Amino acid sequence: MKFFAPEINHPITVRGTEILPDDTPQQYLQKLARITLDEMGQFVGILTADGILLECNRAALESGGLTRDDVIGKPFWETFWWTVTPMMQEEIRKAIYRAALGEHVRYDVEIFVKKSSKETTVMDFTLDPVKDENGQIVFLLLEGRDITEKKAQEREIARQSQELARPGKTKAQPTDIDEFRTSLKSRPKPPEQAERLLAAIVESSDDAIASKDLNGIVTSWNKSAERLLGYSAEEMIGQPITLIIPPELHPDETMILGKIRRGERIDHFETVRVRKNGEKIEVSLTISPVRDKNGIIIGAAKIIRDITESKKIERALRTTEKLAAAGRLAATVAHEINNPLEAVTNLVYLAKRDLSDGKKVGNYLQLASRELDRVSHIARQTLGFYRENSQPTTVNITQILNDLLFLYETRLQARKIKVVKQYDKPMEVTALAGEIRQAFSNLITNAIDAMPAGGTLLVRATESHAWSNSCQPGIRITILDTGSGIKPQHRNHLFQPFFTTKADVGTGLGLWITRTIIVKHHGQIRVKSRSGPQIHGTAFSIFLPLHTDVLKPESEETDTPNAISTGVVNA
Amino acid sequence: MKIIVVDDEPIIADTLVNILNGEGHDALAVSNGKSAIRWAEIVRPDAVVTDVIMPDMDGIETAKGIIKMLPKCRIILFSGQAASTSLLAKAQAEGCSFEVLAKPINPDILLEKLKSSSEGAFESQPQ
Repeated sequence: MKFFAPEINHPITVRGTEILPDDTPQQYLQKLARITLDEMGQFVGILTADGILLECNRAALESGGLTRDDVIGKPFWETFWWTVTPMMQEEIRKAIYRAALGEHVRYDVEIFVKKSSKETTVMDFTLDPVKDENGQIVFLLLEGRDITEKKAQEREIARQSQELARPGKTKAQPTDIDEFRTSLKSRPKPPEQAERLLAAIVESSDDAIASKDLNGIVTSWNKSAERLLGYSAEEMIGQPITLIIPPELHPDETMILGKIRRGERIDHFETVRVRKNGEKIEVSLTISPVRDKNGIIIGAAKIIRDITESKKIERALRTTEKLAAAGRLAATVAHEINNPLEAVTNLVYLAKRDLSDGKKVGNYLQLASRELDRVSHIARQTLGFYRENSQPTTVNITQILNDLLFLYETRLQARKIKVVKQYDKPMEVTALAGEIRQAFSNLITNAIDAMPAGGTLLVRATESHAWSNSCQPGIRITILDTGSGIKPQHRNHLFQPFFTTKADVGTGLGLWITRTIIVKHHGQIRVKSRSGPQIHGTAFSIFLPLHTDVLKPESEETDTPNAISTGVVNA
Repeated sequence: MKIIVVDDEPIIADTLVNILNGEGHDALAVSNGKSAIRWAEIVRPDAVVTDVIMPDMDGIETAKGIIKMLPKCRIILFSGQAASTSLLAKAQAEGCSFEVLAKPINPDILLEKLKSSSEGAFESQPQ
């Protein structure tokens, strides 16, 4: 046997193995082998073919706080390391049996390493048969490498993947995925495994998830997408995404791809898509750009959620809300119509009774006709002359204000409301007369309702200019009451449809209608309100331009609050 | 029969008084609950015809005030508003039940009611 022996002049002791100057080469080699074993960080040992531990290295003993006497000569499975569970002991016993039959056995196992604290370590464990010159298996070589840290990293990756798969996080936000990928790359884990894991998560998600390239060609299509839209992955991949977009909405796709190219994200875009069977479904789309590892946008990932059901519920709710408003409208109509009708009924009775007295009858009939004017005005107002379809004409604003104050005279008197008119000459604008009358009528009745115990109603009209454009001439009308004022928490909702503080008689449509009308006339409306104990009241100011060219009574969209979103509100 | 008519709309109160007086009653018009109670104390009416929804004091409060003072006085409520049902329910919970006629009332029916109520067919009962 060839060996190199340095000249040894004095004894060398390493962990109890002493090499002496006069050792034989045989002894020297043995001692060197011992030192090699003891200095190894790995767990190394040798068993008989029956699994009796013959020898093991220092690393194995020391880490466990064990001595040779604790383990040597014992069946390996009965040694301290394996006593974590009986199952583990059984497992190593089987492994020894297999190795003894000539098999290379390798597995990861969590064993005890510290007797004192029962600390465990995960080992990548191997057992190899050692054969003699005749090919007989005589020993089993065991090796164990500590892989605790590696295992911890794997668990961390698994945890992050689960997090991604959780419902709240399934929006496939590119940042999350990118971070996740980066974190994977920084670890010794092969990235392909994580990619596979991600793919599995996407595939099993309950949300329909698809991706496409920048030309709108589908590049992936998960199981839920198959279920939701009826196309299989094979049918969709390689096809343009426009396959599921109704033809009239194809321009949307151009918009979406444009945003994606600019790196923008689209959140909860509510639209309509078509299933394979032609059925239309309402969906909410969340679309994010997908970047390659250099940060270049290469496509888009989209989550498609079926919102058909929730839309149905939303519509049902709106209908309910409208019905409730209709109920309140009916209450208002009852209130406004029954009183004049009571008066007319009485007046007709009196006219019949005093038939012979022409003067008296004339007086009754005049009063009755005035009451009938009230009824018809109210009927028109509440039952829909709001949707009047006529051409703009020259409208005398001060005349309208006078008419309205006359109309509400009895109500004003009953509540002891003092009326102050601050206008003298006629002021005219081009407008839809009925609508303008409606707009002011709503403001005046609100003012009256705000002063149940009396107060002052100030109505002012002056020549003015638009608040936003001093070159645009027009008329500014102010309607001010000294009522209780609008509570701060109500001010933001004033112009919303169906918002009312008068639950029994209010429709919640008055101010919304008023604002719709004013905005349609390219006017502006502002409100200021104080609800203090000393100073209280509300003032609505309206600006109407002298001429409005672009009135389109036909195209009015009275159902959409969006159509009025341009009004100025200082509530 | 001495009657007080209460309505915040003067034209209604005035025409009703005119009709009632034409039938030989001795009717008086007032425009709110407080003056109804004040006048009731003075004229001690046999019946009060009152609107329900009025500013300040509503018709039911007015009726309760009058019944307290004049237990035999007949009360006829009339209203044009659905809101009066919630006021009535409230009164009922407090132990006072009243019948309400819907506006507009045919004057002949009102006269009939007054006649029958004086015979005990129509009653207001503080419970």
